[in-house]
Amino acid sequence: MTVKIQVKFFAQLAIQTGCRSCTLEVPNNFYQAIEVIGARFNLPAKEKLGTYYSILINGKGYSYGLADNYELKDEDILAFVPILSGG
Amino acid sequence: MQWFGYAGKLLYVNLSNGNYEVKELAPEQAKKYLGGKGLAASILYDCLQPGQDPLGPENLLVFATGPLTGTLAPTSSRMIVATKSPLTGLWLDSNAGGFLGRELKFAGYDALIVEGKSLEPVYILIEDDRVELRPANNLWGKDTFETHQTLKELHGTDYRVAAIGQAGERMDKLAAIISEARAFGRGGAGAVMGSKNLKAIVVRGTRGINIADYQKFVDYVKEAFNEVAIHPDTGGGRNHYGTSVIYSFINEAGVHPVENFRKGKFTGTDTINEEVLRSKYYKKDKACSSCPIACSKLTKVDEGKYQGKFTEGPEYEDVWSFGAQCGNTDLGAVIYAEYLCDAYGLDATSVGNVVGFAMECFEQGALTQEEIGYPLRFGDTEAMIKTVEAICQGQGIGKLLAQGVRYASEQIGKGSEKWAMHVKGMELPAYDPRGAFGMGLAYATSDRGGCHLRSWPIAQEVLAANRMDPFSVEFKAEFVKSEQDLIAVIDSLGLCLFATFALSLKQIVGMLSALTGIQEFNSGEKLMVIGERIYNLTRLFNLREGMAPASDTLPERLLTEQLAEGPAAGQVVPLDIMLKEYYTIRHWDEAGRPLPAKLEELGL
Repeated sequence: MTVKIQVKFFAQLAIQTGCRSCTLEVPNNFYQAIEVIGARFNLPAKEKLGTYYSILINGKGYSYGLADNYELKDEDILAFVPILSGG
Repeated sequence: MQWFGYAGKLLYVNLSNGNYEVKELAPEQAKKYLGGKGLAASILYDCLQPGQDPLGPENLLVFATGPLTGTLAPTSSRMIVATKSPLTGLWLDSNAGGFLGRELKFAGYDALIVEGKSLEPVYILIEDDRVELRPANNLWGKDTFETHQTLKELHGTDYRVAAIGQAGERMDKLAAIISEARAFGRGGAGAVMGSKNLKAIVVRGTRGINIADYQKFVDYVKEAFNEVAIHPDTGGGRNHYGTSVIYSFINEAGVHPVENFRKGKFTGTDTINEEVLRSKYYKKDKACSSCPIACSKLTKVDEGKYQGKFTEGPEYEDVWSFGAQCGNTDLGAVIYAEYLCDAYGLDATSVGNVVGFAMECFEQGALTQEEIGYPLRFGDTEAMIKTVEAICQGQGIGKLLAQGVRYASEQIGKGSEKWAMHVKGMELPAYDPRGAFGMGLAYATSDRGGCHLRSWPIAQEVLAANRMDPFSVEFKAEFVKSEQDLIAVIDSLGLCLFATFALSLKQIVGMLSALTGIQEFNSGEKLMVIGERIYNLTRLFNLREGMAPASDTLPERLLTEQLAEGPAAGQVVPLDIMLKEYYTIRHWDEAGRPLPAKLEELGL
């Protein structure tokens, strides 16, 4: 099953991918979805998750309270954020 | 004694009698407090009688470097100024990069301690062993840019300068000290300098710094430079965008305060974000001494109403304070507002905060158009700039607002205290803790008041790899305590906090040990004990100044008003639970006083 979501890239990831925001159709499984997004934008998405970049789902971090089989919904916003520490 | 890393001397300048004295740095003092913040804390605690007026001649102004300041270590430009704050009435240390710290070390001093008050405006000239007070009547009334230019034309461009603007001369509580466009910004140190009739400090040093184990030090420095260069933050986004790199996703996470913390997500980001800043306004990079990050970005407005205006920055905090905090979406206006703050010598974070407060006062009816002189609504860029200009010039409503939100709300009354977003009198910066609970504890327990630079849990809660749940209280007390101790170490070494994103404590210990040869600095555990000692000492300073335990809190809005939308919708900060745990972990009693056993353990 697929869903239509908004994908955002921030800071240097926006430069790297050439995209700040776009709508994509991806598998509804979170981990499959980031594989697809990684392949589309030439990002080593899964391998560098948590070390080079992080992901916000609708503004909230992916790494807590996220089940292995977490399913994305239509109109969810997936934001790819490089590892940054403060302003 | 042969010193390595340290200059080994402290310069005391008394403005009341015009004398100066050079004292030896005591080895035990260095071993116990490192330098920088720790050294200044020990000097202020020992030498400043409690209860003094921060703007009286008895207050001290301490400029202190750390052992790493001025060396080849990456980001080792930092220096602190410490004093009793006129804004909070409590401990203040304010930290800046640039070149002044390095120059003071090269002149042969670890710290400059300014005492007393001059009858006439003066500046301090330091050329290695030569120390003089020079008349500054011709500089009084000039802004910081003119002051820098005049002094550099007189003495030479390789002389380093720190100066106050007109705000410091007026002793406005939001006054900053500006050193070549870097700001000792927060807490009103510029007002203390003004109260002493001290317009500027000019330093030229020609000495070097001794290194205990040169080869080892250079090896550690090379490794550290490499780490900083390859890290995705320091070698990536921060290098490209400056501190504004975090702007868009702090907003995405719903923790970017909007309109005086009434909302957590700004809708005006099409025209105000890091990408627009870079593509439309960026001109060139600038770096502090020995810094490979070069987070400072020179920007200029090429067209429109603010054409020709320029600044070094704006930093993330100021894009917020003159952006979302005031509902402004014009980055050109942000650049102009920051330029004004630098020129007049004001803390841009606090100035934007207090303008947003005044906007809420106007919209709620606590300030009228007659009192302000014009309507002051959120989103009215022109009114925002008018108000910043009024603050800078000390005119009209600006005269009141230049004293900070706590004082302004006390004078305005009418329930406006509820909208005064400060902790202990210092205006809050650009993160809403309702979307990152640890940040709330960090604000509440910061030793200088509402500040994000004592602990930065939001990096783990929202940025970085989301290692902590932002809406949980779990682990927050341990994290905040530990980071406060670590940052006390970094601020005492002379390193920039940004280096810690890339460097481990082990790498820092390596550089420090090779530099100083001091056994007491040869492990991270030992440094963390020193950090804990420093944080307890500034706590003791604040308690001695009469700080009430209830001061460890947050503005009512953050404790009781839920955010209506965004990722943090429905949240308020559960501070009490975290604070109780924090006191326990710190071995402080229920009123937040360090327990005798803890003080004994720390040698305090």
